[in-house]
Amino acid sequence: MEWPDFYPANCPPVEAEPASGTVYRLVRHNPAQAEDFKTPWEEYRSAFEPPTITNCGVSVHTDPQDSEKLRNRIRKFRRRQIAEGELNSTLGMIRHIPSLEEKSHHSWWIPIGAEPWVVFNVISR
Amino acid sequence: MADILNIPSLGKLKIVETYVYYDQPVLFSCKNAAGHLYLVVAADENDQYDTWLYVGVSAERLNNIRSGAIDLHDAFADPEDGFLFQVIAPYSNQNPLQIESIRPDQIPEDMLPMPGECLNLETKTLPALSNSEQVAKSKRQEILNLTLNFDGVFRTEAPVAILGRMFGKLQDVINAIGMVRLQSQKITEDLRSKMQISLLEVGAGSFDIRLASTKTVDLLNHSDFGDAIEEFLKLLKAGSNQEQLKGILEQLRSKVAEEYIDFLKSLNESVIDTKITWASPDPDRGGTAYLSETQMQETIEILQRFQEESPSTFKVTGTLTGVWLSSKRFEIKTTEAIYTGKIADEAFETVSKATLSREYTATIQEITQRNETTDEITKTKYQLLSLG
Repeated sequence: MEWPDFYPANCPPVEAEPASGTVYRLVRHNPAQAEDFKTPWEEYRSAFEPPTITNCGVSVHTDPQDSEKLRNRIRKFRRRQIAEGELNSTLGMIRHIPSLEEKSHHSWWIPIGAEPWVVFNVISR
Repeated sequence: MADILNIPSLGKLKIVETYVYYDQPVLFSCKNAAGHLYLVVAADENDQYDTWLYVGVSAERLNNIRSGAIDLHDAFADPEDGFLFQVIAPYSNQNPLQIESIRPDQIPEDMLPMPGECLNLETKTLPALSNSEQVAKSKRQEILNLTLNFDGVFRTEAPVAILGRMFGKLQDVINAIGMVRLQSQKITEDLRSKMQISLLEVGAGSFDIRLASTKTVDLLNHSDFGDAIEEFLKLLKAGSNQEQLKGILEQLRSKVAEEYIDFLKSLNESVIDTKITWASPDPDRGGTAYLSETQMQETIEILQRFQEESPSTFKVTGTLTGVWLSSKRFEIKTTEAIYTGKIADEAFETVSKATLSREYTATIQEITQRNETTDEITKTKYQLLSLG
């Protein structure tokens, strides 16, 4: 699996597992597009110098209620839609990293050439 | 995007705790070099920039937000200072970050967390108590730490009514034990001052209360209060062990059992479990007892059964001040109390021949009565068993 050049040497971390299972991501577009899966480092580049394991991972939930709760609490995301996707090992590596309030939060590292938007469908506006 | 942790006029910020992470921290607390705390939330986004809200918070308010006492909406809509900061963070590095001080009514409602959305993090709202052994030694007082785990309370706060009742009942148990230890028939001023408990401080944990004997220990690190606490701890450690409870209570008057039942009931109404730790200036004394909700309930039932099955007896020496043979009643006056009640059949002949105003040693049985509605102890009745 080939990773983007900007990923640090130890990314994805050794604790990450091959991507699998159903996950939920807040997307701006319906249908989901490539830019909905930009890493935080790409999207908010100058806020994170240099790239790290954390800011090279894309956030997803395995519980759709956590995505819904996120939209209610963090109103930046109020216009985003919840997209559901079935991951497989060709789509990269994933690791369960719960935050204090979102227990199903996972970080997902996407390899070069993968097209994750293809497997995602918007399920909630 | 501009660095949202380097805001002109707020200073260089360091994240203290991230509550919600999604691609980046989107709800977090942070503080600047001067120690000022801020709660920060991602409030809006468009094609060119993100909008963030920064609200200054005291440590106490942040604790209330963490524990859910203040919801996330009000955390920003009702700031302590009356204003907050709106930060515009452009995605392009070409454009500078903008900060503006605004009143809460200037924030569009749809940028604020929805009302009722709360964090529910276990939060210590009070500083932890210092080491009990050290406090006991330095103050030369017996120290009693109570850790109460209240049902459904996330913050280290406790209902005043429950605490007030519990404190009162605790003092009653200690007084009752003190009466036995000091062979006193009533709570005299001397006994009251020796057994008096003071509230020393309240700290974090589940809900920690530190109590202390009002009187200090003597030169040998001994105190009557310590003796009473030793008995009290034995009772607590016995938990709901029937044999152990029976053994301890045989040495004590039934008044102790009555007061202990009431103390347990005051806890059992709302406390899931209780830990009581005794620290004494005497390094050889002290200990810890733990009571679960189930143990409390079982202990109450066992003690109530004991009382019904075996009323306690005690001896007093005093003046026979009254005998009413027709109603089979007596009155004995000691230096500390007056006992009135029924004359038992087995004592009737002796009492009928006794001389009024003479000093006797009497064996008296104590019978407890409870109010059937409230289950509170309403009256202790006495029965004269023998006179000699």
